[in-house]
Amino acid sequence: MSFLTLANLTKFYGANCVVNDLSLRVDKGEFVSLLGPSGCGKTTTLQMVAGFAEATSGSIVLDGRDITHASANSRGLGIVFQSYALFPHMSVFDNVAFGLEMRRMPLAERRERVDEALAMVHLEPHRTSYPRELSGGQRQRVALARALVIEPPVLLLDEPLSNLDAKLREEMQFELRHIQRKVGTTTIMVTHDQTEAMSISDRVVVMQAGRVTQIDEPFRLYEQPQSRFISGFVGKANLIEGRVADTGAQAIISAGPMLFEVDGVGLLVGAAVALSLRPERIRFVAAGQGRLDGHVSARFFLGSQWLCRMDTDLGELAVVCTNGDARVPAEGERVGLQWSGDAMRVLR
Amino acid sequence: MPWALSAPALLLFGSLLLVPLALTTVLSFHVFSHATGVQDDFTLAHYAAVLGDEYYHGIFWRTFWVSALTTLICIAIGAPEAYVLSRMRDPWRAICLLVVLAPLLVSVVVRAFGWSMLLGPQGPVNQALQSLGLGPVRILYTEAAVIIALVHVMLPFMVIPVWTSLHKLDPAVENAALSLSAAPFTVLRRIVLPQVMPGILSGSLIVFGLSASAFAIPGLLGGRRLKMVATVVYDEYLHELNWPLGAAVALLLLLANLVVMLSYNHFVERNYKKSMG
Amino acid sequence: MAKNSPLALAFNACVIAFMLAPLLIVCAVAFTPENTLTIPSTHLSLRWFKAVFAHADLVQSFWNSLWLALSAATLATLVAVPAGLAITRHAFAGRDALNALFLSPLVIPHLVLGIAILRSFSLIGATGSFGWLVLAHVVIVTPYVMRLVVAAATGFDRSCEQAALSLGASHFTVFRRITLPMILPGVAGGWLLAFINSFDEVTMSIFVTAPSTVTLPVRMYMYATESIDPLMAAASALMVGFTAAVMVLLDRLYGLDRILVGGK
Repeated sequence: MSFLTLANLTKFYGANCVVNDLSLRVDKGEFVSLLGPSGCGKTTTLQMVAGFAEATSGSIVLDGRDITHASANSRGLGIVFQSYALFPHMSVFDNVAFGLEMRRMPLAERRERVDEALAMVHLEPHRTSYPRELSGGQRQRVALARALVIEPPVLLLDEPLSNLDAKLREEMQFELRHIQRKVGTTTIMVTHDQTEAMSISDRVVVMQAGRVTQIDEPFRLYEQPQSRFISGFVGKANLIEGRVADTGAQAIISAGPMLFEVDGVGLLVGAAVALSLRPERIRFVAAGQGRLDGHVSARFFLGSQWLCRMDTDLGELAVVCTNGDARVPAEGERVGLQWSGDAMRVLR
Repeated sequence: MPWALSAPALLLFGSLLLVPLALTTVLSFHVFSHATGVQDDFTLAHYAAVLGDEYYHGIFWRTFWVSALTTLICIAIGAPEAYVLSRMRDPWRAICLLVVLAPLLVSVVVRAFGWSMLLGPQGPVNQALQSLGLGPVRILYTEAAVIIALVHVMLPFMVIPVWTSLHKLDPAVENAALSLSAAPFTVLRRIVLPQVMPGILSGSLIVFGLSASAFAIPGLLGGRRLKMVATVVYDEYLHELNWPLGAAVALLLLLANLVVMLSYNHFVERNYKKSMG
Repeated sequence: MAKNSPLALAFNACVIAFMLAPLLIVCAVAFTPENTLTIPSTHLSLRWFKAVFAHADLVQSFWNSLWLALSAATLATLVAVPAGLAITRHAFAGRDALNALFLSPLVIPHLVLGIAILRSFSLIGATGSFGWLVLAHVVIVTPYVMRLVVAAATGFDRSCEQAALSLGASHFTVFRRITLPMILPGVAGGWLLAFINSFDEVTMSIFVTAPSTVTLPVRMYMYATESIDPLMAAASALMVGFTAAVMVLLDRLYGLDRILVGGK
């Protein structure tokens, strides 16, 4: 039984359709991310759920209650804004207590709940500080505490980590997930960062131009992207253009001078398709001993990995190998490239 | 909703700005005679008098050239001053800026009175001139005194827009010009000045408009015989009681103001819109 | 940042001296023990200050100006805050025209406003009324408050209001607990600026005041045209002192340079 159901949600700004027939069912306690490039409609969707944008059509049902047209201050959702939106003229304590104040909770109980929330985000010693005295990471945690202290049915996160630097972002990803698991709040997060979405979500909703393109667990999304867009947006991929040469138990795709056997159903002979091949699935072997040979045209050291750009008969291919695993060919060297059959995916 | 929020202000401005201006426009067409006062009949006599009479021509001309000269002097002093200020370090910059701008908050009556003392026959300026052997010079009650005091009052209005313009400049642009072997003065002339022009124009507009309609300064420093538009209106209203004539003069001033403003806007639009946005 | 040449600094010093000269001489002459306008050379005297306080007309007009400025500033703020918020936050037909209207007293000569309002007052018999004088001043000072309210509301992070709404606050509570405290420095600065401009105003007031409502600057103007003696200097010095006190307050609350120049 879905806890939060978005059904055929659509939003027009004038003649411009920003969210197009979006449907999503979120279970209680689930962590779902809305992932996509700028302008794909993910933030607008969140705003409709929060009540700051009016849906043109469609419905939002929360725990059996239709909240599509409910006012923003009656929905009782917890929201962490991209800029954190802390009240600058109030202390950390007052910020976190605000939602409880609006619910007319008596002071003693409020104090207890706020202290609990601050302890959960490790900000107890700062309860009397003001937002301008805190660092970015600390402010973000205050915003989180403020949203969670009211024990909302759903937690909405609008690009919560985008204003933090890389190291802090990584730490906060784990913290966020840890807290969410502990408290068990159903959560929807909006982000344009696919590593972020994949590392902490139960499911990822990939959006493009207002539409949902795929909803899946992170691993399946990565391994089985259903379109070129998703394949390129979620992780890096080599796209090899080809045509369907034959169909049967497995499809035969011809690309350049080569033929590949891949899993694929519903394909028509002669159709133009793309083969998606993840860079980390390609191995270096001795020249002539792989599926094809290539020259290393450039290589980059990325710390934990090597990225090699290969000049081949199939065009430019990117190969990624872990630092320390095997010997990495030098620039200009000619080597063989090998990969297993299930590493390739057919995309229309 | 926005109309509800603006309603009180709109009501106030409607009744105390728009209506009075309309009434005054009507008034300027009313008949007036010393015997019967203001009548309800309409006439163009007042406008004819102002536009035709040499006396009024002289007043408008004097007002015009005094304001224009004031504006030029303000540009000559205010723009460089703003530039010098922008290159100062704190805390001096803040202090000097404050000293230059703070007189804005002191009443013009006080400032005009101060100048009347400074420029009077026994004032410090004349004493200094006498000690240099240049004899007592009559400054007070001449246009010179009015201009000096006007410059004092109007200078902040020139400094502020120029300062604002200067602040929008990217200092790296000046450095880029220097790195390309431009002399400092060339940098000023070819790089800084063109970018600051909108600020100078905006300041000029304000200074000219305020100078043309200035009252207290011509009143206290010009004496009874040196009339400018504002003091003429005062005379008509409070001494002659010829309100329609005074209204005509004032409205012509307002019209002149609007014409100057519109031509300025047009000029800026045409010449600066593309480069400055 | 490039440094200023000695020539530039000398120029600056001259400008500073020029700006301060009339104020300094007024304050100096105010302390003269003589009967005429002279700079005190032997000793300082407070006789002219005492004369100011003993001069009933001057004292009365000071109180007029004070109450006038307090009322005008407060009313202007009450009127400008909602209007400023409306203009900043809602896109509606007529917004630009409304904005221009509310800022127009800055470009319409006070002379013209003076005679125009005088005409209206004479037609409705409001000439001696203090209340109507206050309203006339409100029109003149509203732009000062409006500009600062608009500046404060424009740089405002609205997500704080959205956060408050999401936490269950009503729209009025959001305004009272979140919006207003956050724009308060702008509002307070605007109030003070309106106050000082009303207090100083002479050109419009000279037309609109009646013998019973004469303000201090108008009284001083009339006095200065008739007779010149150190009484005027002492009154002026007191005004300078009063203005300086207001400036200090303005600086504490909002930042004097921000008010005068408009934001760093």
